Amino acid sequence: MKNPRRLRLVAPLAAVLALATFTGIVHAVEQPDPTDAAFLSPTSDEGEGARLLADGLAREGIVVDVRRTTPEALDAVGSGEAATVFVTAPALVYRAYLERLVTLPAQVRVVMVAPTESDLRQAGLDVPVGGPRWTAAAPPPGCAAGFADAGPAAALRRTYDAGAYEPVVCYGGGVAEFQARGYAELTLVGAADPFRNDRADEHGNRRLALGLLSRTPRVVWLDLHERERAPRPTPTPTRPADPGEPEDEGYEDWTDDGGRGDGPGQPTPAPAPDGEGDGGSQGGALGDSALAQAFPPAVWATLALLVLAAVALVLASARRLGAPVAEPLPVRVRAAETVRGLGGLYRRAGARGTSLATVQSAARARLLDHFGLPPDTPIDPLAARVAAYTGVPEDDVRHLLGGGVEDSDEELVRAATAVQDLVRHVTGQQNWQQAPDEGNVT
Amino acid sequence: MVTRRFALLLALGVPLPALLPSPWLLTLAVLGLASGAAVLDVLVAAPLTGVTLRREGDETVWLGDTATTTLTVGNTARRPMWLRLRDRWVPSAGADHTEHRLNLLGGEEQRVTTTLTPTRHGDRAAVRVTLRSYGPLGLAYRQRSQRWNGAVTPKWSLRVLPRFPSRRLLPEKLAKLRIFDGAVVTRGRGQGTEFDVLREYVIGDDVRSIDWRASARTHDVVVRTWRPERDRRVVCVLDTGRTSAARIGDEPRLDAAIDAALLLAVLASKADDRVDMLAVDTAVRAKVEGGGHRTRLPRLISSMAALEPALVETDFGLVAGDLLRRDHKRALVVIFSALDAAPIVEGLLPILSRLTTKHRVVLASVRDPETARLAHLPGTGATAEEVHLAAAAELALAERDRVRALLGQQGVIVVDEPRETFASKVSDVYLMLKAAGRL
Repeated sequence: MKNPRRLRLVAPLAAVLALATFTGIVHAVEQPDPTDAAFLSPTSDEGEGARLLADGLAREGIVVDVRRTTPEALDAVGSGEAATVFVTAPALVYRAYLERLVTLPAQVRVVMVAPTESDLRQAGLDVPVGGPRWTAAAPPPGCAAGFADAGPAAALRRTYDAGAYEPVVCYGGGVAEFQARGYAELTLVGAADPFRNDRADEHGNRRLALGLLSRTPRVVWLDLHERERAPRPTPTPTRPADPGEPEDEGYEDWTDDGGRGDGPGQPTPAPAPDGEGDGGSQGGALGDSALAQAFPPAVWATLALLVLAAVALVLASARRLGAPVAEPLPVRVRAAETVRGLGGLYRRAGARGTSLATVQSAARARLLDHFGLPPDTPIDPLAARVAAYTGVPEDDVRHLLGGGVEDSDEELVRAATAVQDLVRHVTGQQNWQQAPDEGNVT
Repeated sequence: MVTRRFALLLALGVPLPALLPSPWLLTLAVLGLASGAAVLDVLVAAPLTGVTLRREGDETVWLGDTATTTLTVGNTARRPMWLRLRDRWVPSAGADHTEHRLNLLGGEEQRVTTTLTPTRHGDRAAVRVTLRSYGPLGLAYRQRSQRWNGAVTPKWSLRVLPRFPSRRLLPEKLAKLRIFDGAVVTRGRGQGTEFDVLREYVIGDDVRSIDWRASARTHDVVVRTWRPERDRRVVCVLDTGRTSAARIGDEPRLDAAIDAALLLAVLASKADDRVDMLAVDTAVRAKVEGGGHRTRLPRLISSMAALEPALVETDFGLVAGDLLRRDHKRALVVIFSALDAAPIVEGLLPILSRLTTKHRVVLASVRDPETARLAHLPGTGATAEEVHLAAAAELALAERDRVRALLGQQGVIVVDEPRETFASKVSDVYLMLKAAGRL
């Protein structure tokens, strides 16, 4: 940036923007991750674990039944006795199970930790969700429920407006408790902080958590740390497979040997691919694919924005400020082009005799010129003059100046070089370019 | 169309879906905001139809020098205009600083300068000025089609005059001219055959120049002065056929011929002779004749600038037709070609006898040192390929000698010189003929 005034204007803004981005990234990194094995785990002593809560429940004589999958948890409360299902990560529960959790019998309580609006919609509930706040707040309870004895607790990060179900709303909407359509008593808690080891001693967090979970003699603790997959249907062909049909048709023949309320552990019907998405990656064929569910929507949205930015960059770079101009190149021919062409032809044809004869002829012409002899002088008198001048035997000179065809390239080179050496020796010229007859005006 | 700044805006929105809830909604919001801003930007950007362009500057330049042209850009719209433009020339025009950014208020005009260092002689055209009007945010711009930009571009062409390195020889040649013009006192009388004037004898004049009859009349010793013939005709014939395309050193033979022809033309003009020019290959490419002394030389240089070699065999019949048809006095015809057997023997020789009976003919050819170099074998370490090449070169040299002898028999003066001395020798032949009164 060359303009210092613009630099002064932009630099503070850029610094603030960079700081905000850095803060945002750090905050995102510091958020507890439900897929972490320690997150609200009853056996973890880490900060985001919930060992203290599990021990507290045990001290109060509550049976803590830890289950790793939702079907197991559903199975554990299937007997009909009073129990509390503690769902630590609703976002990881397969969506068809969410609906089944909500529609458990009335004697079962379900406590969900910070479900999103999307989770609740998949559970068949119409509860608008506010937030999330940057951090969890600890407002006073503001309600007369039993667990409200805990006093202020850090339960307010998301708020739940479950007005349609006549809820008990505490902690400024951070905790909402209601019974939907006569099914299980559902408690939505807006933050995970009251259940965590590192936050247990703050405010009335520990008492709130114990109050929420100690209302039944048994707690089924759904300790889930990875996104649940759809139940695998068992193919039971009802008619012989037709090899001509596409494989996709086979899905219609698959039946589920389990249904809603048939008991945990049994596969449930494969959900219909439409009508349940949140308008984003959850809808359509992509929404159903394992790849789409492998990452949260935020990743896909970020990726989409990156792709859009890249496309915009490509479009911006593609339009030129005027196309390049073409111009015919001038005609140029290499120096001595025909000479090189003819030399190449001689070489390819192996015309050693012709080449040597030409070199000898040129040498004779130069020697005749040097001695002042007529151009049509035969070779013998010339050879005699050269022999007398150089002392070389006449026969050798005659052979050099008019020798026959050579059989190999080496002999050709030797003979041609010898002829030119002879001419140089006799005439005293080292280079044809310096010949006195060259380049004059006639 | 959007700019990179628009892409940057989208990129800045990339962290938002990861940090805030409702990622897809945020993505749409970022896209919508950026697109809305871009659309607004385009709408606010000043229309390109309000741009006026006007060009002025150099129209001719010598090859190797730098020319400048100025483009005056005006904004007739009321809105301010953030304009970026590119002044596109043909590549051989060597245009520099072709891209400009302008902030034009409504009704304002600004000038931008494009410098040109052409790499070839001839006409180098300004092809297109491409305009791009940005919005105030710089997110999007308006740009119209190439055809539209071409239509609003003012027509302009820079004539690049050929390189004329022999200019440095001009003082020397002009000094020679003045010596036999009689303008400079020398040991001899003013050379030439035309009687000029009688003047008073001064010490140093040749006593043979004393006009005794006039001395008797005036009672003083007077001498006759002579001057060479004037108003002779010199015709430079430039062969632009295939032989003129061959490279001699770093440049084609035609460029050396143009250089020599220019020196000859300037010299002949200074000597008050008329210089015409004819450039031919399969057709007459350029022709300069008639006109006054003052205008002819610039016309000649300008015509030579546009000449380019063509890969065709030259038709010397066109030269003969032109020179023999003309009903004028004897001329010195200097044919700038090459001593190659095929075009000379088959093209020029059949018409040469008719030419030489009417005109004094000089054939000037730049010698290719490469052929002589190839004919020479190194004392040791030669290869069979070099021997074959040497044989081919010897053939070419022998052929050249034969052509030169044939031309000599026809009374043609042949100048066969390397590039360095070519122009000088051609001028010397002219000066020699002029001094001897043989023009």
